[in-house]
Amino acid sequence: MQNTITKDRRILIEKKGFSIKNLIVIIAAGWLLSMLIIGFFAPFIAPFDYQEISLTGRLLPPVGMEGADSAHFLGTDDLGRDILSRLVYSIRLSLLVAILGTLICAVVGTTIGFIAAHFRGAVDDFIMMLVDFQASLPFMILALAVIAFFENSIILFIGIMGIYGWERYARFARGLALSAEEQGYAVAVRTFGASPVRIYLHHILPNVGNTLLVNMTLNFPQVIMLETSLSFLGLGIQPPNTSLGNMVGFGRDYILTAWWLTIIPAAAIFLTTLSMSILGDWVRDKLDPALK
Amino acid sequence: MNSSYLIRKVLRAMLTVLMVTTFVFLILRLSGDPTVSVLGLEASPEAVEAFRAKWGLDQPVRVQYFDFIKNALHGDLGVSILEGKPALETVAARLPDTLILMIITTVLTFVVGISSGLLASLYHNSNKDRIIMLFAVAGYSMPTFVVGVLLVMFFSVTLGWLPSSGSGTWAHFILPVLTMTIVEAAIFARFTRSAMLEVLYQPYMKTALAKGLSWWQAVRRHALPNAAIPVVTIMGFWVGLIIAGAVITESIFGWPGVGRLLVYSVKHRDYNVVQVIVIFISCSMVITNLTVDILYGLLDPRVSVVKGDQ
Repeated sequence: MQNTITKDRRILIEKKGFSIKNLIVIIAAGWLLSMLIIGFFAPFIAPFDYQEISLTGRLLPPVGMEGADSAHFLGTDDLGRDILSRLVYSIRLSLLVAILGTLICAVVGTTIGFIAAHFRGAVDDFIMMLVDFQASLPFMILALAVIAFFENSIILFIGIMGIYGWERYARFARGLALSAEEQGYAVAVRTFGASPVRIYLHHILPNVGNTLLVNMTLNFPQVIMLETSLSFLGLGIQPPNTSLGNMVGFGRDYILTAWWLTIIPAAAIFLTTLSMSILGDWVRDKLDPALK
Repeated sequence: MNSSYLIRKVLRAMLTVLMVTTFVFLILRLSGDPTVSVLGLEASPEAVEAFRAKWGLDQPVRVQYFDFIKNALHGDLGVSILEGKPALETVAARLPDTLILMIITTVLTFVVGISSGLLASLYHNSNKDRIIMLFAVAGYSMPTFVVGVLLVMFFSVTLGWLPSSGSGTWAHFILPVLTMTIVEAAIFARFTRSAMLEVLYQPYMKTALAKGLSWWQAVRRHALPNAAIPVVTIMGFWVGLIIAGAVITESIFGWPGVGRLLVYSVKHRDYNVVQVIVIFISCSMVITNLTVDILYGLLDPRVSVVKGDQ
């Protein structure tokens, strides 16, 4: 009885919010897709070399404002570098870092969770202790310490992004694997002589995949935010490479005279993380409503 | 709640602090030594030698570690290399500024976030709900630094109403507090709403209504206490972040607190100061997590029995 009531209610709700909600999801997906395309084809889209300095054309405003140069659609920065080109390359690098970070994290975290579930005992205790440790220190603080005290390279930086949030995956994967073990299918394939790796990859992973995918869509905007925040502080992506966070950070010094240096990359960050959150919520509702 | 549950939790909390301390010690020592960044590349070999001997950098890492633990237990956490004062003092001097900022922010965040989340859940699927959620999604999708920079642009540059950086007068509080509240209240609103929605559709709510309670009585007696459990957890987590939460905001607004000191010390490799800050942060988080666990046991008697050791 209860179930049917809630179910009916949910159906009603879905119908009511159908058109606008779906439209927003489509717009969000469209924005992300165009960001991906821009990032992927950056060398073909950027009108200028993003590092090219032009001291005669500094701080030009975007097209449409007084004193704009039509060659520089979004204007130029304090060194006369084309903002559109820098934006395109920043999107490329910020997305690359976020995508790699999210993927590495999913693989590492899930594997650790499975290992804990498989070996149990001391191994499980040790891994759960690491999870506790991670939860007792904000990741930003940990990243700050690691980045500044080791030589900051882009590989190290991606590696750090790749462990951001591992404990969530580990916890999920462990819990799901433990409950999968209790259900018959894992035991059944084991009695057929399947190796543990085969059981986890072919039987348990597909059954827990939805939850992990949902976690990935939630993790992705967080990685972008962390990367851009650290780059903003000057402790993330280093020049001559450029990230969306760097652009905001450098633009801040010209906030009085050249707002476009800050607003344009800030808007790109905001729209991207917003789209990803919207899409992530949608994926979660579709795949794993229990996570709500 | 039984006492072995409590003892286990406390021991675990202490172990965690020790692990954090060890981790920070190792990572800061193994990554290189601060001699060059403090003395510069042109320093004479004698000066370098004297510097290293003075700070114990010529000892093996193992010896440095045990000295460090021994001293830490005596309340000596080393000296700030940049300021020449005990690192604890350097950090403690910045603590009040951070705490004032964060206490105001926390209170505002809880009030705004939880009340709008409650409102949204009680008017589920109304326009009120949609508008609140629209703001919430926008709020938590923006990194703090974007919010901060936009606020500076609007209130300091365009309108000229508020100072863009520094501290001292009440006006200096407004933008940093607003920056953090916008982001954090959004998280709380969203979280409170889903915690409430979870509870509002439970069978016991139907039962409560069926036995004749009014809607508000049912909400107050049955929904709120149950929804409080996850909300208290995330509140505890946020209180734990009270020292660490303002790193970016303090850097944007030039606020003279612990967060900005951390970024500065990291850039200049003042590792004793970094260490003290990290230990402070992990202690504050561990203590609040412990408190939340205990509160949890009081709010939900099932926890200490069933989930006692998870």
